[in-house]
Amino acid sequence: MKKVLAIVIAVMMLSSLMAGFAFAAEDGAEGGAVAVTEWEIPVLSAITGPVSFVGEPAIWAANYAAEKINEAGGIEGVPVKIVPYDTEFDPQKGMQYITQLQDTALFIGGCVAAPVCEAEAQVLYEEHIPNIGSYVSSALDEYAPYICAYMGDSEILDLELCKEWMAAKGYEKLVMFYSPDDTAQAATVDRFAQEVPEYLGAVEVPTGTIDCGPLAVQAMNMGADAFWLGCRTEEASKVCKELVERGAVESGEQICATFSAMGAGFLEIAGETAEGTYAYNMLDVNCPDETWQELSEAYKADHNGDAPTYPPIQGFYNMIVALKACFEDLGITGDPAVLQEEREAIAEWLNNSPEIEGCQGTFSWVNGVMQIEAPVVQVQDGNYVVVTME
Amino acid sequence: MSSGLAYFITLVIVYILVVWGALIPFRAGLLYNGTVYVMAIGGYTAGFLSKTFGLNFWLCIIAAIITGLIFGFIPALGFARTNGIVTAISSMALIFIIQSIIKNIDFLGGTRGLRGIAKVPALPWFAIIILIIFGAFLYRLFNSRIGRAWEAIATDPQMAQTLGVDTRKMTVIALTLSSVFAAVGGAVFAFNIRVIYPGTFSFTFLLNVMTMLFVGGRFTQWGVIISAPLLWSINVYMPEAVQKLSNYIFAGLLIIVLMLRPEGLVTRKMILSVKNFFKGLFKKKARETV
Repeated sequence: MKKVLAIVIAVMMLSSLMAGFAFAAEDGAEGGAVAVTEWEIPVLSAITGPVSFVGEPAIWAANYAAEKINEAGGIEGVPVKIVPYDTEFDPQKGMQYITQLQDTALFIGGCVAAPVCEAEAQVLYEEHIPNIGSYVSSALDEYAPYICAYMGDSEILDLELCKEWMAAKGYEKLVMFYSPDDTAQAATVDRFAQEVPEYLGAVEVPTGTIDCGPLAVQAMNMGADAFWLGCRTEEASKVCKELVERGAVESGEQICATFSAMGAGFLEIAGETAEGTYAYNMLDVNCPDETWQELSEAYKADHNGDAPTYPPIQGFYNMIVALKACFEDLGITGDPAVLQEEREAIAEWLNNSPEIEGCQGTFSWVNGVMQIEAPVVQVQDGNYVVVTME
Repeated sequence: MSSGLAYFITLVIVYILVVWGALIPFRAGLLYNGTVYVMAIGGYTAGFLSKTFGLNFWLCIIAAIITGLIFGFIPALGFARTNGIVTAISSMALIFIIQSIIKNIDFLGGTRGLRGIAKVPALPWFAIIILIIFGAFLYRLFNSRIGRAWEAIATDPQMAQTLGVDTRKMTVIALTLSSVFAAVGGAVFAFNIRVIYPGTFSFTFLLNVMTMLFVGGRFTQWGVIISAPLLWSINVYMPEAVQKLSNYIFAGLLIIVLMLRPEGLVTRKMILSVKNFFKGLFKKKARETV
């Protein structure tokens, strides 16, 4: 009996490997190449894992953009298909996909997470594969022109808003909370340490932290009067709640958050303690643009009525729209014989692009940095309201 | 060879090397979980030397071997005085310690990781060469006096001592050599993935290694050659839906194999049968020739 079962297990494993290789062959053709009859765009995103709350909406937005393009006749009459790759917020997984795609892909989209993008970037640069992902400006300089950011540079925007907020409110001592597993946030810590005179230090908030109480106490012991939330929504909201409930702040105005902390989840978890806190977003949730309104309605319909608050939604939509404009402008053929030439042309075009019509008005890239508005918001009566810092 | 296949082959070789690293202490009857700790040290050594000083692949491998020897030897002196669950738990703690240390070393990239590790175009072939060299070394090692001493310790440490085996010395040798395998695995891993983070060398990685060891067979070095590509192909070549379930599949297989075939898929008996088969084949041929 044992022998039979052992043989069954061995056969199952062997057949799974053989089936795997068959799928691998299929994968190579599907994810990498651009078929004559269909533009297959591989897009990496953290669809599952700790940042799936932004990864899934990002893929949704890419699919939505492809759907809209196809309704309007595709790219030069050829339909677009998004081929999603789930990185699970794991750089190793991201690298695995990039190596699978690097021989055949004309363009690779994503990922939403900075650590995965940083891992991918050097391969993309060496193989001259154009990519739009989550990058800070130092990476954009290093790997130009092959990578572009799908949103503004959070390192710069964080610093600008922080200085503005500290000056406007007259705060003197700042403590920052950040996720150590996010390379962009770790880079922001370095920048704050160098350029914010009132900076006292940083408190690590690992992604997935359940109890943020000890972290809040750690920050309170540093004697700050202002707190910067550089972590993601779920952790940021818990830290905010702890700071307010423990009396570290007199009002929410003493707390300011980066864009990735902003979202419906922040208001839900932090509740009334979020009142008065500041943040900025890479998109305007209430943008009156017709395309955005339509996207917003479709998103709500697919997401139990939740509003599209996460920047990758706009970023991934714009990415696919930009590809259409690029392919049509350059007359991209998708012919494997001219793969390298077309990759180069796409990269150059995207890196310093003309104005493109996105879902919230026009946008463009200058040296890979997306030129887009980042409105400052404050929580007022349980809602985000666009404000100017005074 | 496509880039994807090259990546897969190299990663599988990394796993085989690290699993061999984990196998050596098992051979000596030690529940040692420190292989991933030395793997991190080997990986960071190779990555740092490649990035900062531009050292070539083979020099980085040599450096990884040296650091593996040093960082394997030092804790081995302590582990030689422990056994059983104490060794298992305290060696596991090494993983968390090394993660915390690396996170706080700026020149290793801290939490942002170490990027910019040089590309080695012939990496899969180099990895295969390393695999053959280390495989042959391990085979000789297991069939040497040291290997037999380890087996004696695993069977009955007190009896081994009575027979004149210096158990402490043998334990130190086992853990040090195990660390060399893991460090080299880490170095090859760093060149393959080209960006390493403290978090990469985690408890999950250890679980993958242990699953491959137990499923393949923990009494021979050959089992992992089957289990590593089979198990890792689930993570790479299976459809997305199956890949997501890989942890469950790993856990399920581990339970099934441990319950039904405690020695793993490749057993000592199986290896002996294969050896005898070939011996018989050659003898028969020799007789026919005569």
